[in-house]
Amino acid sequence: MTTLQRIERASSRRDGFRRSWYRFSKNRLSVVGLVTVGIVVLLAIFAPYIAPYPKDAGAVVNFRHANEPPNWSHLFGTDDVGRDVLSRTIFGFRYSLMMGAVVLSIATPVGVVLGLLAGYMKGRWLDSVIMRITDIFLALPPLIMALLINAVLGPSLINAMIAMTIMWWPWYCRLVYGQVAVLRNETYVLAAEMGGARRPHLLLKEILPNCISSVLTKMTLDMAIAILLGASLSFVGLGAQPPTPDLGTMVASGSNFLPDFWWIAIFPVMAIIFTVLGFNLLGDGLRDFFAVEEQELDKQ
Amino acid sequence: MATVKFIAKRILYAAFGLFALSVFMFTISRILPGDPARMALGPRAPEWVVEQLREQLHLNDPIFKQYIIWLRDAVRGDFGESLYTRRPVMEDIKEFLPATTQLVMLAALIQISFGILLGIIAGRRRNSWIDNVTRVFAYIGVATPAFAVAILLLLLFGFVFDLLPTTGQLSMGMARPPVVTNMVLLDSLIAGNFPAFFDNLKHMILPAFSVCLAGMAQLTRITRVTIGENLRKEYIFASRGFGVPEWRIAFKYLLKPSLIPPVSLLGMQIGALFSNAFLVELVFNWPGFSRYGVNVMLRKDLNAITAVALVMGVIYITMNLLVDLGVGALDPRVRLGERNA
Repeated sequence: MTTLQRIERASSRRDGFRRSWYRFSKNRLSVVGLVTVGIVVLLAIFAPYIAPYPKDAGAVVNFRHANEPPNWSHLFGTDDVGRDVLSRTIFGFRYSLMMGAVVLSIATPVGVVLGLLAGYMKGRWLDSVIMRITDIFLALPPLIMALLINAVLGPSLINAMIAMTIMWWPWYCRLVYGQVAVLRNETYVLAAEMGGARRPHLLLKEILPNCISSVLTKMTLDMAIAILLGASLSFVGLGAQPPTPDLGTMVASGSNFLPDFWWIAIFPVMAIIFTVLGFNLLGDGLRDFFAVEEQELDKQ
Repeated sequence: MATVKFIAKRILYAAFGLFALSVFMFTISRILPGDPARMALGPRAPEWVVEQLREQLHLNDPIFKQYIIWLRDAVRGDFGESLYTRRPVMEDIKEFLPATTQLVMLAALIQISFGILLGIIAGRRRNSWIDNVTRVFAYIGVATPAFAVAILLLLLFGFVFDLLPTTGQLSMGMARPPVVTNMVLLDSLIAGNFPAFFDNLKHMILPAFSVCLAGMAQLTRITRVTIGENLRKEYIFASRGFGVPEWRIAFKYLLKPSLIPPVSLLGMQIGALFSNAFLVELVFNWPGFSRYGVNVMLRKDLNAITAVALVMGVIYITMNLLVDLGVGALDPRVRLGERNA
């Protein structure tokens, strides 16, 4: 980047933000996604202050109010031991988001680093070793494998996250590998290479920044899938264990009381759909946003 | 020649994937703390009995030798005994896998026919009400986990409208037809027992839809996109100009290139169907392989877990192989390896 460009960039950063927001918000659904994700994140962070009965998140028993249908003091009703379903659902967002965030924050760097390495060592033994292992992981059904690994490790929230992480990094490895293959022949990378830049510089300063947008988009969309997968593991009984107010666990225990006490299972189900839908819409919005940005850059 | 090479390469990859999976599952099931012999016999068995079993299971040998022995048995269909059912794992597989297979096959049939049909309709009439409906359906379908779909369908059609049965694969009092394939649907057909056939089919509707809804949504969207794109290609306009009948354009020139992405997607979706079956069978109490899988997982029954992993791996990898070959048949570029160039 030349000095002139740098000055231009600095003066137009505010402008650029406004323009980006305009482009992003042109698609209404992206904004809906952003708002949904915002609501979920806020609810998760401030759960103890927002939930009407924060104590009900734990192993509280209140049989006098058991199985109450939705009413004004319990908007989502109460479960089989009298806990407020609304409060537990709000706390449930915490576990869903935490699972997704932890899995992605480990799987993404691992996958990105391995993908960069393999992409750069293309044609050497390191490349084939990394990519063959990646291929094997990608050739297996993720949910079933996560279930099995989780089962072998033993049922718990931590083990569920470990199992998901083991099945997750290869997707990032593959994504970045593909990106590197394309980007390493871009003019600016070749120019830097000819200017005598070393490999670490090429990888980290030239190629990596240009992979970020696709990795970011994938992370947003994957947050949705990770939340689904985490809820599924808990639903089967391998993830979070009761009385943890995890959404999947709540659905599992609530489904024993169908159809009479439908609210115990249905509201957590709705919460899962709401969260996943939000991340999906936001991810789609980001993908379109970055795709347009690339087209504009190509034109320049 | 190129085609043979393509097929051989794919089969080689598939075989290698399976081998790696077996090594992986075997290793994690053996390096974990906990002595399988002790677990099988319980805490009160005397030490010399445990030692005897350990010797019998080759647990005192080095791990690579254990693996070779295990592999030799596995190839012969001997996965050892399940600690949960106390029977050879192979017998459990034979009993439970057919029920899941028939469920997944019906689900795949529903998914492919509805998904592609809806996609074609939406793609040909962009931004019509039906396109918008499928769009909403696709967003919600992708965001809803299979068990949630199952619970919602169960409540709606099982209880609110009370239209369909919600548990098991045959009604109470309905005799199971004589076992031939262990797929009730096929067995009842072979026995000529039509009441059982329709009863079984009725029991499958809700689980099958729950299993395939998410995949159907994806398939609809991707078909819609490719149909929409190909509809604007010049050769379509040209054929129309030459007076080629509309049905022929639709089936021969439009559908074939438009089906390449959906068919490639199907490979991944077969895995998703089996994965979803793991969740849906629990809700509908379907006596299938997935429910068995979950039960052995919760009991940490390592022999059975490894076998479940391998069976799922074989199915998934074989299906993907078939899909790859199918895409190769549709798209000469893939077959001739141009895409990799």
